[in-house]
Amino acid sequence: MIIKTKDLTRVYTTDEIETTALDHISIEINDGEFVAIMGPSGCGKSTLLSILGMLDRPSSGDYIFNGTDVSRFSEKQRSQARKGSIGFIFQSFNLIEELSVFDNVELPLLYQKIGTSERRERVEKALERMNIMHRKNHFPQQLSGGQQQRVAIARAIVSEPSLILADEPTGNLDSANGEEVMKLLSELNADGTTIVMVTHSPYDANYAHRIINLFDGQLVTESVKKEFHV
Amino acid sequence: MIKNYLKTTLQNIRKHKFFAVINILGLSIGIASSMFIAMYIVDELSYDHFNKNGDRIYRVVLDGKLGDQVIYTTNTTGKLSDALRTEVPAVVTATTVRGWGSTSMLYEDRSFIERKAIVADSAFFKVFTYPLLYGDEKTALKEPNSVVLTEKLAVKYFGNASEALGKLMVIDGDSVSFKVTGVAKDVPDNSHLKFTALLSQDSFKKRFDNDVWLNNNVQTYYLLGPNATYQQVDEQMEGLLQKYTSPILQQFMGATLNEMRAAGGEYRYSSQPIYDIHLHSIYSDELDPQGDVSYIYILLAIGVFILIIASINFMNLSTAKSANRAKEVGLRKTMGATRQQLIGQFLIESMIFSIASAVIALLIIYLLVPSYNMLTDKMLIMQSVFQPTIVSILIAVVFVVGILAGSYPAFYLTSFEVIDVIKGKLNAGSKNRAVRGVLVTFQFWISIVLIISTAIVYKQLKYAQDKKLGIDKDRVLYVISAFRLKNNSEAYKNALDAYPEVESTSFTTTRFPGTNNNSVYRSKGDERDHLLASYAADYNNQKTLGFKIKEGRFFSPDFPTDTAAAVVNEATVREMGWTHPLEETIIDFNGDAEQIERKVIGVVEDFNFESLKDEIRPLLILYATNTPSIAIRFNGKDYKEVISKAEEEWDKLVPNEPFEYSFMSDEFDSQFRSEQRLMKLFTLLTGLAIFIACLGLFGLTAFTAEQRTKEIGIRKALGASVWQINTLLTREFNKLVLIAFVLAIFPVYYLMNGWLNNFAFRISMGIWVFVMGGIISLIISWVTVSFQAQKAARANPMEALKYE
Ligand SMILES: Nc1ncnc2c1ncn2[C@@H]1O[C@H](COP(=O)(O)OP(=O)(O)OP(=O)(O)O)[C@@H](O)[C@H]1O
Ligand SMILES: [Mg+2]
Repeated sequence: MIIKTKDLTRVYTTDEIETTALDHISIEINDGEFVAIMGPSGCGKSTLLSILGMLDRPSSGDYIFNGTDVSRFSEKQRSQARKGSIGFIFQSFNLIEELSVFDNVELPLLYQKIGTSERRERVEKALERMNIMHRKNHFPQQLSGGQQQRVAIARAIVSEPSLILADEPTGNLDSANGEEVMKLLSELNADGTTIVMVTHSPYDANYAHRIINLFDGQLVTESVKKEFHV
Repeated sequence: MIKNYLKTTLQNIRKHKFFAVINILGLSIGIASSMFIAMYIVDELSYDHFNKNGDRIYRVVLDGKLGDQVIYTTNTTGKLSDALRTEVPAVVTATTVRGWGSTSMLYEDRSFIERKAIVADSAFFKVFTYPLLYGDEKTALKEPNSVVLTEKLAVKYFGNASEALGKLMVIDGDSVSFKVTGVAKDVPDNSHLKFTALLSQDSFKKRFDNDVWLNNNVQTYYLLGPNATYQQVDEQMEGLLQKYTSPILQQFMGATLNEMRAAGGEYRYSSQPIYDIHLHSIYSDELDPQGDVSYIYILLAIGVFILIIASINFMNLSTAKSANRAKEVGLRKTMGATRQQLIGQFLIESMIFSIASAVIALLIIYLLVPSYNMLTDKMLIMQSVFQPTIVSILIAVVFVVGILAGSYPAFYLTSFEVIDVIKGKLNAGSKNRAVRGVLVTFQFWISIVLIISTAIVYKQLKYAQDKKLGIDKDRVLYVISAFRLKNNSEAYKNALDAYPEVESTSFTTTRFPGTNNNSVYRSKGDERDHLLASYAADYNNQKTLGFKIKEGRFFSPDFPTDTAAAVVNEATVREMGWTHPLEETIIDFNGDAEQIERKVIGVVEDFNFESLKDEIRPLLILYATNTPSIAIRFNGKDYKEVISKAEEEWDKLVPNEPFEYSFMSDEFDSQFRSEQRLMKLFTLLTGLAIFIACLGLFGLTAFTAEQRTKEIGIRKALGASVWQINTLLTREFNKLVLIAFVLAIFPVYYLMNGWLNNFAFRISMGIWVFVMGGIISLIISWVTVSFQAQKAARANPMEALKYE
């Protein structure tokens, strides 16, 4: 089991107003699963994803990642644990504008201190897989939305993570490009990568094995769409 | 319209509180420091201007050249003022002033040593303006045995200044009492001539009747006629020299004044305006230490630098925030505002900042006046901020800072094209960023120049103070004015020698640093004149002061003829050109009396008996006992014990005379008091400059981090650690600081080398001071930037990434 949470709670405090973004969430996600998180705007989907990605810490509750309790990890430990094992894909692509396509994809490997030749090899492999190799020297602004998202996916998979977290990966794309992104994610999942994806689109959610529904920070239902065998 | 601008300004301050606080804090500290500097400079420039006829008061100085020795001195002959009064029509009146050193004064049971007594003749108050609270200026110094006290002193002895007039005081244990004939207002701080008591010259008539034209040991001042020029006086003083001095020169040295000049010598009186004395004097033998105009320039430069640094903060932070303002500018433009109007708006805005900062600066000044006074030994009061000069400077500073800080943002921000702003197509501002980089580099350039210079000044002063003098200046106590012991002086010395703490004692005519005697001597068989400094002391002097014998021996009771012998230093041997000094004899002209031939019995290693700013001069040591000072060499650390024993013995012998002492090390160190004071001031100002520069850097990093939050978020999500994010942000600024450092090296080297050349004994700068300065500034900027960068790096990246 790659992810297991117990009573995960996240409270935001701003100007003395407390918002409970996550309210005692307990979920389990197995290795190789493809899970979609759904729910109305503001129900806590992104918050959950950022805690699962160890970008944020829960206010209370436990989070066991790959058998280790990471919920009390320090900033440094989280950064260490995240590196190389989790890839992120965002709705707004979030490529660094000052860096070329190649450099953007290379970035996670730089932080893992991987040698030059191996980096080049892996970046090119990821770009080829995403079918965007011919644009490797372009800058993000010069690409279409679909192309940018493919670069972002290439960047997410270049360090060969076991888990990919995607927050509305198709939110900014037209249906054709969106479909392509979903296909790529399914392929990655078929190759063994666990995927947790936030989405508003029931159509996209169909690609997942299982759907987790949140409402107002609470877990409402879990529905299994497809058979998944461990 | 102004109201509208005011509203937007206030709105902007409210919206960007952090930036407004940084701007105003930097500007107000900058303005406050520059106002302190302005007050310091205005005070320094005001010296002696309280004299009603100050622009017509001159001091006579002496330029001399004897062989290779050049003499510039404020000492003149006691004969001069009379001659100026009676024989020089361009002079209204002239006065003679003599430093009287430490003087004991007694009234009933109140007895103290006064260090600032001077002797003056009755023309004193006609030349200078030192108003009398009680007594009559015309007559106060006329009679023998008259004394004029300052108000403070009158209160000290009589409890009330109004009681002083007509009272009788015993001065220097004299048998005749002095009558208080006047109470003067305390001498202003900005007077080059400082005194607490004025003794009438005629009190010492017998002694001063011995004054001769060749003897220069008093200060002469004169008041120039309203339509005369000092050049006329200079010409006529030349006439006086020809008339009076030249014959004496011929009598003693076998050459008239003209013959002496023909042989390359010089001896000439000239006039120095009193306004020049405090800052522009190159003459030695001042009664009080004076200032130096180069320090005024340095302070001025630092003041300007600090204001520039603070203004740059304003420029950088306003342009950095330009994206926010661009929309406002675009909107105003579409509504018909011209560029001029917009520029005006931004200038008014920076002016508002500048004025607000000035108000806070006044508050800072108010709070810091006591610390400032402590630091500078000045007596500033808050009211002096409101004198017209200072107020005009403040207004000028506010105005210049407002324009300087506001102009670049104004021109930059109003240059946007409306259409680009509306479309949100604002270029990331790479040119603007480059300009900011240049400005930050400049700020750090200034800071680094100040850091390294201050370090070098500190190193030099420390070196000068710790330098081996050639005598052991520590643990030597001087008993001052020991002549007041009268016949008891031997007994006193013997009593001190009996204590185990006392290693040795010696009578001496002079307390180092300095000697009060410089005269012309010759080597027997040689017609050339040589100027030698001299002092006289007894057998134990060498042992007590701890200088070393190079050849021969010091005075000894075993050789009765030693009392007429001479000991010289190595510089004298060089000056005389001797190869076998112990076979030489010195001709001592001995004033008006019979000349004496003194056999050289010893040569001492050169030691520093004067200021460390001067080379070691030729020195002649003569024998004498029962002199005005006693030097006591003691062992151990307990100097208080030694003082109390010396005082106890003193009181046994002369209970009515106050006991007074000083330490040789203090007197040497006090030569550097003005430098130390400036050192403290420079250090403080350097600190403030750096602080303001760091404030700017702090704000700029906050801005950069804000601008790059998204990038920081992405990098973090991809695995960058806090440290790596930190490096990302600090790298950019470190580069600038490094550039500033490299650019600072040469100018600092050049400037400080020039300064160090003022010292006869100077340090070499060494690369370490520079390396240290560079490292310190790197660390300071790194810490400042990191402070902000850490905050950015620790934020949850999801916040930055989730919304587009
Ligand atoms: N930094 C924050 N401070 C305070 N409240 C926050 C913060 N971030 C999120 N919230 C609140 O937490 C709740 C959950 O936010 P979250 O971003 O997880 O919603 P979401 O389900 O991803 O919504 P959307 O579908 O619109 O992206 C919301 O009510 C939001 O206002
Ligand atoms: Mg969301």
